[in-house]
Amino acid sequence: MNRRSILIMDTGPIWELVLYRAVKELGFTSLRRNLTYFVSPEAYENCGSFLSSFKRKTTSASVVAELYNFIRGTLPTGQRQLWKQVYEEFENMDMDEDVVRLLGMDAELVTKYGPTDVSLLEIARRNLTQRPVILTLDNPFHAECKKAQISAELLIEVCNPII
Amino acid sequence: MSFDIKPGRGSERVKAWVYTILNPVIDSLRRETDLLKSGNLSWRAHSRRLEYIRPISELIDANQQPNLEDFLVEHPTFGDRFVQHDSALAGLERATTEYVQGLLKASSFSERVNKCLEHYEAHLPFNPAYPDLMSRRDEIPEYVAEFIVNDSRSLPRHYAMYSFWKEYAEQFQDDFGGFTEAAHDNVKGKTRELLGISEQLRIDLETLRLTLVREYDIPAAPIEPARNTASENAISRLR
Repeated sequence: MNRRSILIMDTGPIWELVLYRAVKELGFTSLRRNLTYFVSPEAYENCGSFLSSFKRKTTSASVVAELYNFIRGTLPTGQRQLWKQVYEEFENMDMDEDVVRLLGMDAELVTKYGPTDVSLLEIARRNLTQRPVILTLDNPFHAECKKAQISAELLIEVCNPII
Repeated sequence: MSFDIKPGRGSERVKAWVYTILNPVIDSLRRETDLLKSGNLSWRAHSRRLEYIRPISELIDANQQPNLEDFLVEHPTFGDRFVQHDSALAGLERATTEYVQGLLKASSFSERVNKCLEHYEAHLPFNPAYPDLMSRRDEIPEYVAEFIVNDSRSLPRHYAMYSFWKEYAEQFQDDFGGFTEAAHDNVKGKTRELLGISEQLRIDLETLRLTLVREYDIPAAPIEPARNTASENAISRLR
């Protein structure tokens, strides 16, 4: 299997990866209810196989800001450890991070989808020659990617591939 | 516990001890003992510490420091127990750091890492699914040492080191002789010591919590759902 070129990750899938390790490895059982896609080791494994099929993985600085909002909604005593998990996920999967300026984004799209999703689309546009793929768990955003002729995958389909 | 003025039934002061001190510490000690039992010390080369096993003061929200001080005034023996825990943790961190430093200096270890790496790189053209580790080549001995001390048998599939460790983990199961063997035994001994202290501390804190909730007729956790509901809404909104 040759490795595909570039994967652009939305907030949801990254948060799901962080939650899975926090619950399974570190025993943060109170976060289990927030884990909605990696409901079995197979789902996590399938996602891992999908991610590892890409040579390069990247995300947007806006995604990191959204992760901050997720973590801020958890109990204060566990926040340092969740941030540590985020750092480790980024390091261990060699995650890159791109910055997209607000002025570089289409105002209509920002109004409709918010700056994070639009920044991911912009990163995809910058890397069109590498046939980028966006991974998200947001159905409307997935549809918007298709409309913009950018390849996108939904996390639920990655976790439960049709064989 | 001896009070000049005994708190009344439903005491807010006792609730503060249970909710801001006992609950987070008990919860963290449960996770800590699970990690120690599984052999995962969560030691990290870059920080030279056990990342997910922390001193007691770090388990409590900094804003709750006055409640911690108040709790310890009325339960002074736990102050000593917390110090004992933190001292055992510091001992384990030192022992682990010494073991890793010994490993990294041992020529037999470096030779084995280099041999595995050469083998991995030589086979890259035949395994296109394997990532090129060139960018982290210098750090690989530290990664391997980390996997060894944390008893990591396998890694998540999407990690850059997954294929390397899947292929060569077996080759690092034995000790590397001399200093490293004694240092490894020292780590195991310090792990057992911390595990014993943590387990007993957790049991005693749970007993104290039960005594307090019975005596002062308070719930063991706050029953207002405000915080969790807000966080769940925030998460679903963002998703």
